[in-house]
Amino acid sequence: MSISQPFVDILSARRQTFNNMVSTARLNHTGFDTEAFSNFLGEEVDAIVQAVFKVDPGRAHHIAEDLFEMAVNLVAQNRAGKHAQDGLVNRIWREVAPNIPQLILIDALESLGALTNTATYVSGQSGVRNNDWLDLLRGIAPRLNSIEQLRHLVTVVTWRSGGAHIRNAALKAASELPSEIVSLAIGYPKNGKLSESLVPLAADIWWTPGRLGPSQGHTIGGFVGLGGPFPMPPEIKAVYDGFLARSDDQYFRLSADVFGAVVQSVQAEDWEESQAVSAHDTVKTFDVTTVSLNMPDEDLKFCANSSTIVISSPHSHYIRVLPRRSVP
Amino acid sequence: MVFKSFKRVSKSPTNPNSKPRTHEFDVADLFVGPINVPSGQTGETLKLDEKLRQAYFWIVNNAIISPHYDVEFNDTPPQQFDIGGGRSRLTLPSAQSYSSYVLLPLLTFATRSKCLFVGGPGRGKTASAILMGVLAGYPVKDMRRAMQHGQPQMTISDLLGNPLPADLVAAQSMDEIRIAWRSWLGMRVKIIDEYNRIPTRTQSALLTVMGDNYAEILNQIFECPDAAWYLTANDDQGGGTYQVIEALRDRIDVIVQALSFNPRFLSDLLQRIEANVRPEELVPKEIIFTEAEIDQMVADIRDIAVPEPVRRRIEFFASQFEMFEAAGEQFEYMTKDTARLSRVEWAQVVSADQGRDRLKDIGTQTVNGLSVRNLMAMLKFAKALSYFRGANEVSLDDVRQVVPFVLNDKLRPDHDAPFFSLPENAVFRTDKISWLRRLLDLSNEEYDRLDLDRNDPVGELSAAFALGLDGLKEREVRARLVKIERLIGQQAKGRKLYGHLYDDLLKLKYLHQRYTNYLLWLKAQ
Repeated sequence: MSISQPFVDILSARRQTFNNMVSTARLNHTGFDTEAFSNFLGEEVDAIVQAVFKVDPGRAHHIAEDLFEMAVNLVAQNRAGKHAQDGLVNRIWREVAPNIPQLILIDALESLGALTNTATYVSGQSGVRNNDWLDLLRGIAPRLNSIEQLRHLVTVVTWRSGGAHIRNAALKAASELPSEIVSLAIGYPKNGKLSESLVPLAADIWWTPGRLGPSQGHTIGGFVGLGGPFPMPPEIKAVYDGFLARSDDQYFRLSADVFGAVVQSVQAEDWEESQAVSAHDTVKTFDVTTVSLNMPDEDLKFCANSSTIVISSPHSHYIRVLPRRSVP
Repeated sequence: MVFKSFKRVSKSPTNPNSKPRTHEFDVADLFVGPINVPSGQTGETLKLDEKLRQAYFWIVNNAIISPHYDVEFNDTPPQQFDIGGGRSRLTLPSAQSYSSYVLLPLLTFATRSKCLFVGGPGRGKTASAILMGVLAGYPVKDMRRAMQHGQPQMTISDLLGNPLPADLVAAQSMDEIRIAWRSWLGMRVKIIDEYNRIPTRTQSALLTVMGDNYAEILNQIFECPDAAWYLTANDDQGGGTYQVIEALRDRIDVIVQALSFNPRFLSDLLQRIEANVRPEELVPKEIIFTEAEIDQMVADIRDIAVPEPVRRRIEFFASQFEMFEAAGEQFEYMTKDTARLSRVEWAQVVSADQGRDRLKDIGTQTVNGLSVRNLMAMLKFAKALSYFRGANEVSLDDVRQVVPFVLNDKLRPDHDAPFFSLPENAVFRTDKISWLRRLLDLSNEEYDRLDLDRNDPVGELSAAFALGLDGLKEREVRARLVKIERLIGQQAKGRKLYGHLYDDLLKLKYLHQRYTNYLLWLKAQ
């Protein structure tokens, strides 16, 4: 591992400060791995410092201190480095951060710090596709020129990558971004007017441009022992703003739209106090052979609200979520 | 730039009182994580009680290696273990409990009161006091420079300031002499280190600042802002180079003891040495309070309610100590204060005290009663503790936990009392904190035995009087007078005079006198 000269100069100039940061991390985290930290410095932090130095050498030392301190915190908490609980934070620092020096120079904490925090959030959401999320950020973030835009973009790409539960916030964030950025973030239109996509998207949770064909919905859930959320096959209840699930003594909210589906824990009161809604006509006419269910055909349970139908089974920990328009 | 890994504060809520409902998603949640991003917060202003708790947890987790959780709370029966032949009891509290050495100074900070740290040298008393100054937003250097170090040669000028030499020569009158006041007088956290080494005359000047919030030199006055005070001493009995004047000791609201260092935590100490870390220099900005926030906190604490059942128990407890039948002939003078002022030997006065069960009467365990200042401090700190715990009103547990620290050195034990001669109570001769807590427990047991929550005729008469005299007819007044006289007769019948009964009778006498005066006025109309 070799560190670039600009970073070496910065580290040498404020050696005592940096050493103190490491000492303090060792004080507070008995398992702090200095070797893992050194590697993280050499591989991820150095690349960012170099990128920043190229744009504004005068401010590089100041930014480097912020980066160093964030890196100490992340490695100490096993959020980054070789002991990281998941790879997403490392990838943000390695694949995204060196390409956004213009944002890091505005404020390292508000840009890379916020991105890092979002990465830990996203990696904890089983319904959000991490690779999609990272790819979108890597492609679009270098085009931004303000922290505010970055925050809006992060919100939109989290939605686009499956975070159906933040749909409303993301639609609002999209309205604050330049149209070419939004088009890239949500994937369409490539050439048409943005309003032709955002308006129908806001009105219909399952809307897709005609050329893509209708959404086929999503399969979510799974047994808790295999990384899913449910200890038992879930029971589903349709409520006015989505669906709730009960599995053993645990309760969940299901959020789904065209971009994905997310299962989140809720309290028992949410289940008990929510009024069930039903759309029996839809359920009666549903033909299970029209969709791929990946669950036994017998004892299937159907639950629907105005836009969505959910199929569950007492023999499966998975749930199939479909747009109603796909029901004959 | 300082290193912020040391500067992390505990995440909210630090004291979840109830099971939270499902958290509604806020887009700001996306940006909250391991990195402390200033604008990544949810936008809500952190409540000051939560900020105070975060300050507490930062101090106990990072700054003061104080593993003693001696302020115990339980929401279910705690696990208890009797250890060894002496049956020493170790309790594992079932609810969030605290270290008095951190908690009480912090409550002092939140109420702008006066706290005395006691304990042997090198136990972190001064460092703790400086931390409190840093919480108020003062730089460590300023706090160190502003700290007053008690020493035998300390003069009033050393403490308060000097007249300007040029003015001393040129002034035609006292008004023209300007004073160079010492900067610490204007600070909102004041520290007096080793206050028991200050000469008596200088102590008197300090008393004026502590008691009346102003300093005076050559007829010139400096008005001090409201402040939290921290004093340190190696001995809370006032020992040291100079005896501490009693009025100064009485101005202190709480006394906390620096408990011994547990060598099991030596590794923490070692790490601190190796890292060359001074916690007071690393206080996170999130737990630093602005002046306006402290003002708000003081006001919020004042607004914490003391429910009547809790207040009645405090009244009952406070009633136990002042009455001393043998000290006076007239009812009002049957007090320990009368005996003390007479300068008659205490043992001699006590020997004349007969007729009561001296073992059962907890009033016999002390040589004095409670002052109004003590009661005010007790109420103030009970409110502050309740606020700190996120409650809206004071509970009996809050009172139980602050009483020992407020009354330490205020309620003085009579070690010749029969209570202390019992083998099981011998330990209370040295452990004053446990003794004071035990006193409150005994008082509460007696309160329950007398069923005063449900049967309190004096309270009922007081409540009727509190509604006012306006428009009260003569017949009603006479009926109430008869009721009071009858009640005094019942109370006196066959009962021995204990502290609470004495105060009840004095209250009845007061009510009787107010109604009598009103009746005379009515007749004169």
